[in-house]
Order: sequence, then C-alpha cells, then structure tokens
Amino acid sequence: MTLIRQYINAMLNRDSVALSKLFSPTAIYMDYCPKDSGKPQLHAYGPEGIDMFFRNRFLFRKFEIMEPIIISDTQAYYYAVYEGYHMRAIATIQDFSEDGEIQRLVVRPA
Amino acid sequence: MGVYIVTGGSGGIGGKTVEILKSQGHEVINVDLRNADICADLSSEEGQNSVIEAIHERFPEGIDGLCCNAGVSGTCGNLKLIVRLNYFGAVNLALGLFDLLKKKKGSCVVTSSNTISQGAARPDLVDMLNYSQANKINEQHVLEIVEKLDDKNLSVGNSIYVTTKYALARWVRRVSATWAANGVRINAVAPGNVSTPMTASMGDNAKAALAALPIPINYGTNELMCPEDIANVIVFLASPMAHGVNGNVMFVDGGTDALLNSEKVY
Repeated sequence: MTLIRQYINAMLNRDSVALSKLFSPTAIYMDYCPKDSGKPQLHAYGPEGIDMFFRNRFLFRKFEIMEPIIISDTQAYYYAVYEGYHMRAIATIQDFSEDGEIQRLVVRPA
Repeated sequence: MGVYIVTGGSGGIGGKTVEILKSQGHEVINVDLRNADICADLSSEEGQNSVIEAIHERFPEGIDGLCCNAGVSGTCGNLKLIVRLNYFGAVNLALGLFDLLKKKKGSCVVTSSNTISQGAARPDLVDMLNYSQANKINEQHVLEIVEKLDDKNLSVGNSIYVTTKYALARWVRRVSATWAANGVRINAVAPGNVSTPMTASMGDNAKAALAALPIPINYGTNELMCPEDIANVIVFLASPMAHGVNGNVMFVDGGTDALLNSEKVY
C-alpha cells in the first residue's frame, strides 16, 4: 500500500499512532489551509510530535478529513475540516527519507 | 533568609512550593482555605482583606516573595468561584501586598495555565477582568454574565477557567513594567496538566480531556506533570536568581505548548 494511501487511512481512522509511523525521525508536516479560515496553521515535527499533535486534534474533533481522492503515489485531495470549517485541500508528499518514510508532507488549499 | 507568602499551599503545586522554600531556610506563610498558617477564603473580598491585614501586622518590614497559587479547575461546577478565586483571589492579594513587596524589593509569581494559548478564553470577559481594577462595576458585570452561563457544561467551565488564567497572565504583563520600576518583579507560570488533588478529583470526561493534551516529556505514558516540576520554577522566579526575568509568562508544561503552537516564538 502506498504511503499516501496509508496516510489517508490513518487520517480517516483518526489514528495518530499509525499516522506517526509513516514519518521519518526528522519529518515535517505542514498544513497551510487553516490560514484562510483565520485558524492557526498546523505544524508538527517528528513522529512522536506528530502522534501527540494529532492525538490532541482527533480527540477534541478539531480536525478530520472527508471524501478523499488519491490522485497519485504522492498526492490526495480531501475535504479538511478544521473545527467545523470545511476546506478543499491537497496533500503532497514532497520528500521521502532514505528509509522510505515521509520526510516532508505539505497540505495546501486545492 | 526571606519571608514568602504562598497561597493554596496546603497541597499540590502550592504545597510543593512551601516545601521547597522551607527546605531553603525561608520563613513561609501558607494561606489557604484550611490546614494553613492563615486560613481564609480568598474568593471573597473579606477573606482577601483579612489576609492582607494579617500579613501587614506580622511583617510590617516587608516580604520577599508572594506566590499566588490558589485556584480551582474549570470542572468545579461553580463559575463565579472560578472568577473570584482564580482571578480576584490572586490580583487583589498581590495589589494589597505590593507595598510590602516594595519594601524588600521582592518578587511576585502567579500561577496561570498553559491552556491560555489554546484559544478557549473569552476575550470580552478577559477585557472586563483586566479593567476591573480601575472600575469595580466591571467585576460585578463579569460575575453577572457568568451567573447566567451553564455551570454543568464542562466546555463552559473550561472556557471560564481559561478566561481567568488568560486575564491573570495579561494582568502580569501589563503591570510588570511599573512594578519593576518600583523594585518588584512579577511573573507568571503557565503549568500543563499537573497531578494534584484538583486533577485527581476530576470526573472521567475531564480526565479524557486531560489526556488530549499530550505532555512530550512524558511521551508514551499517561503521567501528568509533577507538582515539583512547577514549584521549582515558581521558587526560581521568586528568587534573586531570576533578577533579570520580569513580565514573563513561563510555560512549565513539559513541551505541550511548543507541540501545539510550534510556530509561535513570541
């Protein structure tokens, strides 16, 4: 299964642990979409940081994704929901680590 | 050795603060509702005034430090108590003891919360609280608004709690320059979720909410922060060692705020 598919599955399942395991020890996760809604952008660094960051987001229902469409091995569209504010987003895996983990994943408005 | 006043010193963070200060040889007066050197209800104006009077009588030559730590959680079910104790119990006491701090060029540390950075505070009430020192009407206005809210709703309780802690931190920032110019430093600590009698008494829903605020230094465990983690920083800020620190809101949360707000560097 591709990393982007695993990423989407982890997001749909709101599984922060599974999500974190996709990322390298020095990985960067950046989501610029919330800027348009006036909410803080999402930034998380490293697998443990990503686990804890999304545990917080998922538990409080501050973030979820809906209706994903995988368009390539590195990109997927979905509706990202930031505390009730829906935005069309595109997630792109921009870099991989030498071990094949996600090194840099960026989400932007689509 | 110095004279330090600690509110809420009968347990939790305040208790550890008393313990550490005493171990350093200081004279420490614990002000709390019960089991204290001075027993008083700091949520009432009468209680605040009785403490101010008692400290003036006992230490007319001044005090070295004041640690305003007494407070209740957002789950206590009494919204007016949250406002009265968490905000006015700290601010009114600090204002009432300012002259004694000034005499010895002392330092004040108030206990805020790391939840202040998570967007749950009500800015309208924060403004009213911060202006209440200049206008007593605002104090009554805040209490009247709070009285109409649903005190059974946990998110409302949390919002009022965060509001008081945000207002407290902003009050510290606002007065810090003038206080320092008069020889008195003032800072705030913003603890994360700490294992205290207050958190131990929380219900299951509130505990689940606690678990959603991960503590990076305790990653992989369900452990909360230890009271001494916070108390050590309070003691440091109250000490001459922190002479260069003023008007600072210091997060002592094991990295939770940095995790959730990594892009904010100021």
